[in-house]
Amino acid sequence: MPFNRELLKGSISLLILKLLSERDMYGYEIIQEAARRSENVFELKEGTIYPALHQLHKQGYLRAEWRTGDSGKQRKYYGLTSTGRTKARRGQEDWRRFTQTVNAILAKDEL
Amino acid sequence: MTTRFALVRRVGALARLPDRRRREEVERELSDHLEDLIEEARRRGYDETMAGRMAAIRFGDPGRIAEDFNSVYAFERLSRRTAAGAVSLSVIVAVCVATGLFSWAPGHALLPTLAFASAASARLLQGIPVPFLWFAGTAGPIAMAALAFRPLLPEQGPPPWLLWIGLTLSCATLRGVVNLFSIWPQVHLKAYRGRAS
Repeated sequence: MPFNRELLKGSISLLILKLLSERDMYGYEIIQEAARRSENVFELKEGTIYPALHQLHKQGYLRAEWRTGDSGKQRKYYGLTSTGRTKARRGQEDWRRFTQTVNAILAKDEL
Repeated sequence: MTTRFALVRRVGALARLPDRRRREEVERELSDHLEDLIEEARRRGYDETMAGRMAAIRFGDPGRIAEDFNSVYAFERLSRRTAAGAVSLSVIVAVCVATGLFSWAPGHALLPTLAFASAASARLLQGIPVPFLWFAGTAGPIAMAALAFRPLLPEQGPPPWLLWIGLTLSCATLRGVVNLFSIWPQVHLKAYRGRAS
């Protein structure tokens, strides 16, 4: 079942930062990797991912460079800057705290 | 192939990116992405036409993608447009002020040009936030310009002190105009964010 678009939009930056904290990737690869890890639940759209990548790049969290990939084609690879790494780490901590809190409230509701 | 270029061009055209280099880069990136989508569909056994169609469907609405790009670069676009407007207006104001001040001297066609060139150089020096340099910045270029253009100037030209006053006034006007234009985008952006929220 697809998620609420707004819910996904709010967490897109965190997902991108997390995926890029492991290795440099280009847009298509990020979408594929997110789909694979979420067992095709997260089908990120191009209209979401590319503007988000550009926004993070503009904010200084990502660096970008055109590079020849394994397929021999030139692709625009994105990677984290040191600020981006810190942002990714903090983002994950915030997300964990947030979900724990929400879960705690929802659990009380269920009782 | 045609569909791919048409889609990408449409995004590029609608996104209103701040400059041509950025637009070309976005188009290239999206074009590569579409190529990957087409290749993926081909691997799944679709023919060329179907692969192109499937890629276009997965790519989504170009208008929506452009809209998202548009909001990412909104501030940068606005700043550039404002800066360009400020420069144009400054040039017009400088020429008007300089021409108005020295037009009384008949046959001095060189003077407005000279005054404008000096005012423009002085405006650059005014970037340094020290009050003394504001005046030094107007006196320096006029002295240099007077030395450089002395052979071309008529004998009975306006005295240097009058040139200096004229240039100071030009510079003050320019500074006011530039300040006004540097404040305006921030006010506009705040209003825009207020409306968006």
